[in-house]
Amino acid sequence: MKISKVFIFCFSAVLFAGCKRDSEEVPRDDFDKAAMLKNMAEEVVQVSYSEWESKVELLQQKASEFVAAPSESKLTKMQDAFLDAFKSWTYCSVFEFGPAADKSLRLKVNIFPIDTAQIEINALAGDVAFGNAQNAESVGFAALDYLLFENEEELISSNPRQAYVVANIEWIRELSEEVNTAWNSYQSDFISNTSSGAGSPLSNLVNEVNYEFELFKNARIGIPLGKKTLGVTQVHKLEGFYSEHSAELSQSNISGIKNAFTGGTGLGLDDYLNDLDARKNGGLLSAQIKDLLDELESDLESVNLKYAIENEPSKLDPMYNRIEQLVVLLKVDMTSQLGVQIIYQDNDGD
Amino acid sequence: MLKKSFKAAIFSLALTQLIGCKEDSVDLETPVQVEVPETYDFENVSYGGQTERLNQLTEMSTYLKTANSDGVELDQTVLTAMFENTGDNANGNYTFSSTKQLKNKCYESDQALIQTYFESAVSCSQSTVTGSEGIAGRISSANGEKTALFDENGWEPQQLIEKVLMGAVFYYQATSKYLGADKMNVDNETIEEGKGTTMQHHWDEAYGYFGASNEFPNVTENLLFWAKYCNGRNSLLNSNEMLSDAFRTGRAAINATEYDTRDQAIAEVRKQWELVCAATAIHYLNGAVENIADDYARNHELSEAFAFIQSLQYNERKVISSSQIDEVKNLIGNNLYQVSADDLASASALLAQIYGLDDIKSSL
Repeated sequence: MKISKVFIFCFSAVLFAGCKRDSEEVPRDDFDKAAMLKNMAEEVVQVSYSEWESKVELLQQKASEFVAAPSESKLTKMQDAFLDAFKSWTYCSVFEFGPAADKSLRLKVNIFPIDTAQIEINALAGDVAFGNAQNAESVGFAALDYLLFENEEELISSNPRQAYVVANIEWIRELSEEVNTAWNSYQSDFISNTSSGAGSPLSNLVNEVNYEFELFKNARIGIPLGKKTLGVTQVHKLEGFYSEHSAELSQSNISGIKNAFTGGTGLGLDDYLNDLDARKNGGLLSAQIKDLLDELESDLESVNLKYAIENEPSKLDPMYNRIEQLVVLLKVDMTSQLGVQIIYQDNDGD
Repeated sequence: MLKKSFKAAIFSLALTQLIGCKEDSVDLETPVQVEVPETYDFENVSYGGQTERLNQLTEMSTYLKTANSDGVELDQTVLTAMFENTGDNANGNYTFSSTKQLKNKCYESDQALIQTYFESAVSCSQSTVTGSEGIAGRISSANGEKTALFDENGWEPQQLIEKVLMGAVFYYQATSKYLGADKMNVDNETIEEGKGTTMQHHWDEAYGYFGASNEFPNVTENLLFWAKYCNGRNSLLNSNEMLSDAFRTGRAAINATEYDTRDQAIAEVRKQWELVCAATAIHYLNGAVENIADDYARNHELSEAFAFIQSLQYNERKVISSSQIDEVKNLIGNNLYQVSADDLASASALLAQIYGLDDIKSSL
């Protein structure tokens, strides 16, 4: 009888697994979850949404000025205001719980890659049925990214194209206003419920931090980089492909995720993990997560994603490795320490 | 033996729990020995969805082969229904019902390629003449024992469909998806009865695509697809033990939450599986050289060889490069009636060199 053998070392993983099961039965409860949620609602979510709304209003203003007297210089100002508003959105994208979840805000505001053929149809008509399934991939920031940066001359000369841009901005502005207003009434529910079961504010926050980070990993980086297509790159699927500001948009997205994790200067998930003395391989889990988020922010500071994917994709591999490491820390270690279940599913089944 | 190792594992787990919780220490490095069982007989192993897809491909192949007989025309809608498993049983064309399908697990960029193979199979099946260069049709082997359907350039659609789907679904899903980071960086604590943890289940699903029973390699009967070809190369590669051991080691490592060992096993599964694929391609290239003058045998073996070469790409950590795959394919060319024995030998030699199979290449 032949038995092949593997010698393994029993590291901390087993110790933690063992201890955690005990702690689940008698959860530590001395962390002030309500204070964390209050900080999250007031200082993180609402501040971010207000910022986003004001950036969109500014964009609307610049768009009005452009349409009133189209010129290259006014287009440039509108483009700058657009990028500010777009970055402000990628920062907010992680807050897809409560009012944002009710509205499926992500899908309405920033679905990408876009359907450029449908956008061209709409740009000829000028009058577009927003919210219509047919237009699901031709509205929002990614559509504006195309309209504002691809074929600028056409935009300067075409009234229906301008009308489509204006309507698109108004569509986003209305949503930003609605979600901001809705938070005023939702806030008390968010703060008062300190359970960690499915659907609770804590569970939603943890799930959305994970979900958004996986969107970052796949939609923003992995898919364009060819990680889902056996290394065959798909650069046109980048967010911000036409404006060529993909890295900045992704960086802002990571900053938003980091803020949702740390709670800014106030109490956040990092403090909760520290209170539980959550560790991995001896070190504080929260510090490892923050370090990786910081590294990703700095990775994205100095890269042109479009250029890198087209010319030297392998140079992005160290960053992608960090992203994969962080998925484990967020999705496996953090959730198990906090006793929160991941409730969203891979949609591909067995 | 198995029971004993489980007991030992449970005991050591309990012990480390005690030590860990009492001293609240994390740097304890007590070496423990995890035994890898000699078969895949772990607890909570389930891969029914994979088995169903293997069975679907078996029945699709059976349907395609009906057209090897004169006068039997294939139906495009039947093939599409089988690919998509329309109505849970391919509109009555499968003998069993299942919620699974081949198409949505097929490497996305090559789903259209499969459709073109279907179209070719259907149009070839309408031929009423014997196949030859420039003419699609049925061709029999020199001894008259076998007949198959080929297109005007000598490609056998049934082989292309079956083998490329083996690559684009089974091999791709196992090596690039289930053993990939997205499916391995998952929960390994919560045990669902019958399925194990999410990580264990993903590992088992990769194993399920291999096509062997849990008793493999001790039992080598009823092997399907990849397991069958693995067994076919076993005498030269020892591939049954190598691949099976990698699968068992990885599952045992997951059970023991030893992820470095698991990651080594992932690399080993990918490597050994790729080796089986490459060695099988060499095997068929060699066969085609031997039978260079026999239209049936040469076309059949080159269709097989090409599909295995095509399949090499579906492993995200493949040893061969994409340009090398193209190089090998180019040596075969597009017209199987115009191949040269020298070019085929070069294709075989190139593969052997890439995979370090020079010593055994002529025996494969």
